Amino acid sequence: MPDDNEPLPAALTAVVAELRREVPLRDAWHEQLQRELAAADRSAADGSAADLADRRVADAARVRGTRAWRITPVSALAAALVCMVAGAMLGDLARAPVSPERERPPATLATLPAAAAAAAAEPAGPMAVRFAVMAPGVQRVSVVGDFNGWDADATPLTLASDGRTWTTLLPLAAGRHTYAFVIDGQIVRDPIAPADAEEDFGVPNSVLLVSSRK
Amino acid sequence: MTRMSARGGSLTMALVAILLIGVAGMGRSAHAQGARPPLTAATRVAIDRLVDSLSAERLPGDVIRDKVAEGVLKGADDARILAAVRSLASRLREGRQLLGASAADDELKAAASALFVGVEREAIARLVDTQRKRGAASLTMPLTVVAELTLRNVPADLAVSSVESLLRRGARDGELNSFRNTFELDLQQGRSPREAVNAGVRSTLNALGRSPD
Repeated sequence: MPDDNEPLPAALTAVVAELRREVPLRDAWHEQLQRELAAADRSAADGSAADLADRRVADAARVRGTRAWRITPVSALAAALVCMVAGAMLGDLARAPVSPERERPPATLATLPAAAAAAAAEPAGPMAVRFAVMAPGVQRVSVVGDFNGWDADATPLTLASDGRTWTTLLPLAAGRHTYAFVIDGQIVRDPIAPADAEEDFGVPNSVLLVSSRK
Repeated sequence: MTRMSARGGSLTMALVAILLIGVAGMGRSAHAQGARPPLTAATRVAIDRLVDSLSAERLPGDVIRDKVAEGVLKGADDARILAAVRSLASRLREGRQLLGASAADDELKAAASALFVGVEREAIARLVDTQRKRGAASLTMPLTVVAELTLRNVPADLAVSSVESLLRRGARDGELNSFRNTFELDLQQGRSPREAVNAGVRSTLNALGRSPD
């Protein structure tokens, strides 16, 4: 533990002195600030020290054109609890059609075990499936499949913050789907998903099985 | 070699492997055809008739329309699209015969894929029999895995017998998926398809707590 009485090094002392140096204010601003602080001091004569401090903060904020809020520890705790409950409720609402398992990228057969486990407990309906493909340095990626009529414009993917991974989240009905990616106009199958056996048109697709939630 | 450089070497090898997997997967590609001429009226009529015919037989006609859309995207000409959908319709009918009237559309699609890669009707019938004995379990995953293994150069009879053996020991979709993933990993590590499928069966049976035959 450092000793509070220990003298500061010379370099640090110079920095502290510089930070403590009074910043010149325009005279009009300085006088206004002094007047407001003095008024606040007078009106606070009947109040507690805490109230005075709060008023000073509020007055200073008014000078800056903003509003200050006083938050006691109890109200902060209550607000935090309300936020937690509201967040949980909103989270449930937002995730209603999406289970974490089904969000796991990429959307392949790998999503099946967890989805199957969830099948008995959840109502029927579309499931959100995340498609992801690593394609650095390209301009446009979309996913095509029997779920969007093989329309290359229907489901574009978004470039993630890593600058290489393209992803999208898509609600899909339970069942067997075939799909491929279109990367800058080139149709390619998902390299890490099972290949569809049917290669009628020269390029295989990938297979995705989405388990029923019934 | 220092520990740091060894770690860097492993990282580099992992990155190279990921790149190679991606490049290998993307090796076969086609251009999306934005400017393909529309299907001719005659082709559209033929497709409509085929869809109506399948629907009357309670077979999934929308699968035909999906195949047409896929062909259009991939720039196939009308003749090729027509050949593909007629072949698919035929295999869906065959699938219905093999799987029975109660088969779901997805099971029929998976059966059509297995037939496409040359899995014998008798082998599919055997798989159906094995799975049906287990009750209401779906055939979609078993048939999809069989079709993929066969596509990846596993002999069809070995693909079917491997999946059958897993089903008989109680494997469900999740275990079949693990089996498929193990197979894929082994292929990437240089094993032959036959070795990879045998290793996958052993690994999955171990996970199930069962021993191979």
